[in-house]
Amino acid sequence: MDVKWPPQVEAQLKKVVSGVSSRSVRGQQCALETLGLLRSVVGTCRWKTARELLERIRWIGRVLIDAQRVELTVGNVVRRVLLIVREDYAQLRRNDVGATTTPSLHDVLRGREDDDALDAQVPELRQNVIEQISELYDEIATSVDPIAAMSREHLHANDIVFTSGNSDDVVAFFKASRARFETLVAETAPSMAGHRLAARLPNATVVPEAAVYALMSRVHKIVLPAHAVLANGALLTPSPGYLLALAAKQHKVPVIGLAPLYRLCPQYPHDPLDLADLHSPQDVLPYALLPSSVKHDTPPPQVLNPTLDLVPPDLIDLYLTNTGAHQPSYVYRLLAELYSPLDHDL
Amino acid sequence: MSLVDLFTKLVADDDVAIPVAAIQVLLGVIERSKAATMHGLDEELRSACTELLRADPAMLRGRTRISLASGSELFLRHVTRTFLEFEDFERCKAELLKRGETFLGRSRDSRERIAALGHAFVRDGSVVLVHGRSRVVIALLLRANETKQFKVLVTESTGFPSDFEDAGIATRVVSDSAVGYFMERVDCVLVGAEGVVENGGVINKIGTLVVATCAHARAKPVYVAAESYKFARVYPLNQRDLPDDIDDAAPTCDYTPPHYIKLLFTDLGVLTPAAVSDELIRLYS
Amino acid sequence: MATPPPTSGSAEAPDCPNVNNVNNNNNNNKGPPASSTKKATTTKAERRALQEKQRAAKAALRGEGEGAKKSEGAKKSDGAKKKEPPKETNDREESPSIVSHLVPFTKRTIGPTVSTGVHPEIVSLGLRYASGAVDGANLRCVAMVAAFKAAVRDYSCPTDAAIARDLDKKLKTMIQFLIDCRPHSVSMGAAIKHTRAVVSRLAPETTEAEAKVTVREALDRFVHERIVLPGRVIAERGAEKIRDGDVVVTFGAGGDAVRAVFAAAARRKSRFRVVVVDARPKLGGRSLLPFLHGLGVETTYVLLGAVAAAIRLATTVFVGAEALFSNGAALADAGTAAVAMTAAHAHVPVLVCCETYKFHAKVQLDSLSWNELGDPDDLGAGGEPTTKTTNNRLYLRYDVTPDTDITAVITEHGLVPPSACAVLVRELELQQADAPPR
Repeated sequence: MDVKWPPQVEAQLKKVVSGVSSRSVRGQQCALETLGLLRSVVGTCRWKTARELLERIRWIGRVLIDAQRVELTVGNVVRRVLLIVREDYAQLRRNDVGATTTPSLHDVLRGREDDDALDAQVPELRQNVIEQISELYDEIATSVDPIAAMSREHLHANDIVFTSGNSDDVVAFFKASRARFETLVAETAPSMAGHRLAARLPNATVVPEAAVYALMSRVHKIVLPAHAVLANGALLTPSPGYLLALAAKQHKVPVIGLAPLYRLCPQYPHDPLDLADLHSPQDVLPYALLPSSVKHDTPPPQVLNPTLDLVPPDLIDLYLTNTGAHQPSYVYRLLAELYSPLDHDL
Repeated sequence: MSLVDLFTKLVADDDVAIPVAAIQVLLGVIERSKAATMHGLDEELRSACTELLRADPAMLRGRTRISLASGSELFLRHVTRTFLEFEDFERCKAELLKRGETFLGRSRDSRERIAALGHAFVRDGSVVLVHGRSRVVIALLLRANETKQFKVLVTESTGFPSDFEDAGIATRVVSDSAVGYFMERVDCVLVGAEGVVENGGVINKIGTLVVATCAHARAKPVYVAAESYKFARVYPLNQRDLPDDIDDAAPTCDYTPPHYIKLLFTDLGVLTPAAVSDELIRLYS
Repeated sequence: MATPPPTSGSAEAPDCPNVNNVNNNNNNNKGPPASSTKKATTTKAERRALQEKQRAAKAALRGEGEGAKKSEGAKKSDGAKKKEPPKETNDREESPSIVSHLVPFTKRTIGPTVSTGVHPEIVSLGLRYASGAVDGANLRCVAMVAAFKAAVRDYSCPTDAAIARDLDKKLKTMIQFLIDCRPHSVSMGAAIKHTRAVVSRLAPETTEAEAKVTVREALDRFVHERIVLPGRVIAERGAEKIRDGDVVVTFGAGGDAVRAVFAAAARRKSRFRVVVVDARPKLGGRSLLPFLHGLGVETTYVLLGAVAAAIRLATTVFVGAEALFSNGAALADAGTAAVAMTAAHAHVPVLVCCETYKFHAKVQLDSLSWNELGDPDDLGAGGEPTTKTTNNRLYLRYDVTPDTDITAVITEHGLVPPSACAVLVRELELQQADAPPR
């Protein structure tokens, strides 16, 4: 982008890019840092029109997304901010707020304009947007609380609850429930995150993935953390979430996804392997154990280590978000309220 | 020229969708209208709609009146809402005409917009089963062909493999009875729609239900490509509950329930069947 | 000789995996010092000291998990004879209520010493069972038969005893010892049943030498006719279902039958790829890789969490089984059912390779009504220290794949639908009832 960035913003951008691309910053932390960066962009960069501001924000978004394709919260946060700018602009210009929301049947005939009215200069826009970004920051920082509070409705005494991975959201959810229930945690090989999760919970047992199906007939609930929720209502969750969800479906066990809104993406999954977040095959099969290729022409085994599972919407019963509990078929509605369709492709 | 004649003339152009032609006719009615009140104009439009709907089905080129009804109803609804926005009748009338022109201009683009949204769902190396000759589907696959290689299976009753072959897409015609046989090697099913109904299901060329049921049994996704003016205020409970003009002796269309449909590609975006009913509720409430 | 208590039924029908609480090693030592688990020469003082040491160790272990190590050597008090774990006051020690009906894993830390009545090969085999060195349905059965043969070879009948009855008694002791080391498998049960039937049919006038020959030959025939020959048929039938370009998914170590199928397919020069889905803690698939590599077969290797990705590529699934129940369900290494479920969901055919000797008259509806618990320490997360705050670990050894997820079972009779298992079991029963004494 052929424009100058203030040195403070450049430095902040470098820091965020470095954290995101190295995966040292993930999930909620990543969302918050991105938001902080965008707040600086809005506050300290020089821009005159809403269009210019949108372009700058989009540019930052593309840089961050390129740094780490798997960290979908970045794109989500950028889109939230873009919608904030659009809506604030429209409100300040006393336009119909509907001008920037999802096109509806009514709009089709009304000839809704796209974004050709964003060239006016609105002086209050900067301050308004900064305030809204701060509000969004608070919302994201505390998003786990309303979700955890819902555990009282869903977790009951003597329940047996199955989960996997090592998610802070899951821990908060379980701890908020006053009921005494048992937890089974899939060990989540090869990262063994499940072992670490079980150590944080009072009444947990670690089981290998191999036992997931076997135990399911006596389980009451599955709780899965969301890496992301996609536009069709599918859940992107750490492996072996798919196994848990499919076995649960066979045994009619409800599956609950913990999905704070900053994890909702307006994208559709086209290729499951795209989103699988492949990690080093070495963790699955150490090089030392590969059969020797000295005698044979046969190539060594191909080893895959996908760490994220895509769980289709028909295997999820409920999403718990910071604004309430919703069915996967309702996700499109949430997305319509969070993002402008003009921003789906950054 | 009577309305029906005008409509027939417009519809003769293969490239014009029936609801679009209907709306164009209705815009003409507004232009020529001597009514002085909104109520008067509304009545003229309604009687025009009725006249169109009474027209000879033959001119609809074998399609049902569903899309005609949906397009007309959509337009009438839009007119009513516009009346609420503008107090002055003359201004309202002018606005309707202006918007109508914009709409007509953009309706030709809607196929391209749907193609842009939907082509990503056709993956490189995949096999797509097509049923029913839909201009939107053709546009979508041609767009996908620009960046990907895939194979198309066209059912025999659909015909016209040249729609795809001419663009260099590997195409094969399969008999309708063989759909079950081929379904295990299909990656997705793509169909158009005569009408999209209130629960997100579709009414489309006869045989769509068979293909969708078979696809569902083999866990293959069924995608529908349809413009939003095909959304109809109809809620069929079963095949018997379809609009009257489907001749039971030789039905040309059937109803596919939303349960068998994964996604709809529309000019309003990619929608799940649940989202379709939301759209219709929003418009008609 | 110690007689096993009646509840376990191990003396009468050892082919049934015990539905109720399996005969605990504790329950054995009702008899005199001739019991297999005690040193004949331990003095009273030494025993007392050992008991004290163990009591102290047990108190230290309290709060660390359900795999409480129990020692062998001490004479058990009544308290330890209880089949359930003792009443727990501390959260840590409770097994999840899901599996409280299953016998907790007990580690054999002190090897049983040689005692009268148990052949050293049986002892050594028992220890190998306990340590997991000998594992898998066919292997355990074949190893047991070999040990039986050695025991019979070295057997000498007391002059005043009827050979059939005496040999049977000795066998029962040995069988009980093996069961104490590790609950027996269905495959072992079938061999045990067969052996005892053969022994019981020995005519009273048979000489010791003749009896030994008869029994040993019968054992050889069993292995040959019920395991080796069927294996070859299964291999060929299975290989017919592997075509050029196929991607075959299998789970864990596979088992003899599955490996034979792959070998046969490779011999036919079919070009196919095998995706090995593996699971902790056994990770049997790692031994399958060099086997396939040696056959010249290209492989992919993933852990069970990635099974959905594996199934997306697959044309067929071949798995082995520990046993097949009369309701068409397959008992197999834990994780098999998950692979079958994922495949069935994706409409990929699932083929279970299983010789009919592992077919069982019992029915089992789910994986928990009976199962075997393994050593929870095997689930250690490698490097994570075991502290008081360590969570419980649960290691289920098996699972049950329902018949609805199985497309076909490959047996020595060819491919059969899972519903045919009940029929085949019945046929076998009828055949054995009619079988002339051999």
